[in-house]
Amino acid sequence: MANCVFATAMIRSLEKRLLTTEQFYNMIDSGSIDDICRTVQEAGYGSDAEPFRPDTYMSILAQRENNLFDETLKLGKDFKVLDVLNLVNDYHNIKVLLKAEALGIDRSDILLNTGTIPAARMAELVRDRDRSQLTENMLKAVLEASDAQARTNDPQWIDIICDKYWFADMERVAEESGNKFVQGYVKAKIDASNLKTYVRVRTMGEAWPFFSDMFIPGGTIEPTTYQRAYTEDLNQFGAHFKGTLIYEAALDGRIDLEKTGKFTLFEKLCDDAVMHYAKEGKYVSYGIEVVFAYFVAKQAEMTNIRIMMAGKLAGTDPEVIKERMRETYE
Amino acid sequence: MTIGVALAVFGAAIAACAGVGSGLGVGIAGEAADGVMAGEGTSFGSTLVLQALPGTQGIYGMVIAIMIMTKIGVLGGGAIEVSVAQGLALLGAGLPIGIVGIWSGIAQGKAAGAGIQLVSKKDGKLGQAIIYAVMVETYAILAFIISFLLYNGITVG
Repeated sequence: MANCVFATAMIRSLEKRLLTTEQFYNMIDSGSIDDICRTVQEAGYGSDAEPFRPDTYMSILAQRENNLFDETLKLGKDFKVLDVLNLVNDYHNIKVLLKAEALGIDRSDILLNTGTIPAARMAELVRDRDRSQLTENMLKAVLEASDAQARTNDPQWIDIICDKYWFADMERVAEESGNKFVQGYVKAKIDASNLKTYVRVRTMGEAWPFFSDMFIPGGTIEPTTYQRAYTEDLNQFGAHFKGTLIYEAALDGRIDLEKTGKFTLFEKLCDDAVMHYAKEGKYVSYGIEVVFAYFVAKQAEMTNIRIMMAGKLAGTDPEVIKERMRETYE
Repeated sequence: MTIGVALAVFGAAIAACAGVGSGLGVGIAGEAADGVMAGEGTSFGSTLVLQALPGTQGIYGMVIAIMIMTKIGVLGGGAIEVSVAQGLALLGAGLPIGIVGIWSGIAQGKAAGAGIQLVSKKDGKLGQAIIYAVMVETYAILAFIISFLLYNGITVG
């Protein structure tokens, strides 16, 4: 506890600057894009030198994302456990590098520098299949994905295989941290991801073995539950997830999917389920949970700003934008 | 020096250990205050009040310790005759505030630190934050009263 008092207190004072759902809704209802940009800038995105504007918002958000984990340095402690949230960028880079390698092109322009391994170094490691700095899971992902790409010539397998090892790596870091909250977060992410895959696979009309191949182990829901749900009609499967974190998504999301044929609300509810879990960090007085949950909240906030800005600039109906907004940490 | 005096001195030392709780408590609250000051604008005054709260246990312990030392004459320079039973009784008098002071000081430090976080996040909550932290003080005061009553009931010499 003692080591986290400073960090916890600092994060608590930063939490008040997180944008709330009400603020987002007010911005969405507001007709003026200038007002929106001003509010977002006051929340810490952009500066007087580089104001948050429709033409700069993408680069400001990307830059803010890049700097997000630098904030941990200010906390005076090395929070290795935050790698759980950072690994997504490493695996993004691996996917980009493998796909570029398969196509014989250079896409270093879309590599992210926010991972646990700098983008340029990752490019060397993947190119040389170098085991020195890659985690065991990253190495397996690189070898298996490049092999699958060579056999099938289908880049989709690069995504599938990399995602599987991404979750395995997150699970490893969470286990090493010994923190139950972080371990639970990874389980919630895995459950949400499996449910998304399950619904998509069933909508595509694929049989159980196809989903079974894509199933990510390590969540709270066993594959047998999905197998049982597979015997039901797609419109009836929700009941199998009663008592789980993703029950609401499975039930309400499925109803909306049936009505609209769109995955928008369903995927939002899956993400919200993970945020519901992260919100438990609010009830911890001192600890890594507070720091971890703040970074989850910050990532969700940036996702929401992107959704809002894209929607407003495209002239989308405010109610439609609101439907797409992810739950905030408040 | 007799065994009785030694036991009484030991009692005074235990009472003074309440300062350990205060030290840790003030440290925890101070760390929290540093944290919120490093974050987003929180007033120094409001954090200082909360940080100071866990300091009282050390004062209570010191008062009991001085009283015991005065009673046995250690402070005056000439220790008076204290029997083993009287020494043990004075040792017992030092225990409540010594033990409760350590634990309540730490607990109050945590409560004050959480209060500092509350103040940093929501304006106008200083009063409530102080009240929550002060609740812990009750038990330090009860221990101080017991130590004082025990001390008062012991006659030496």
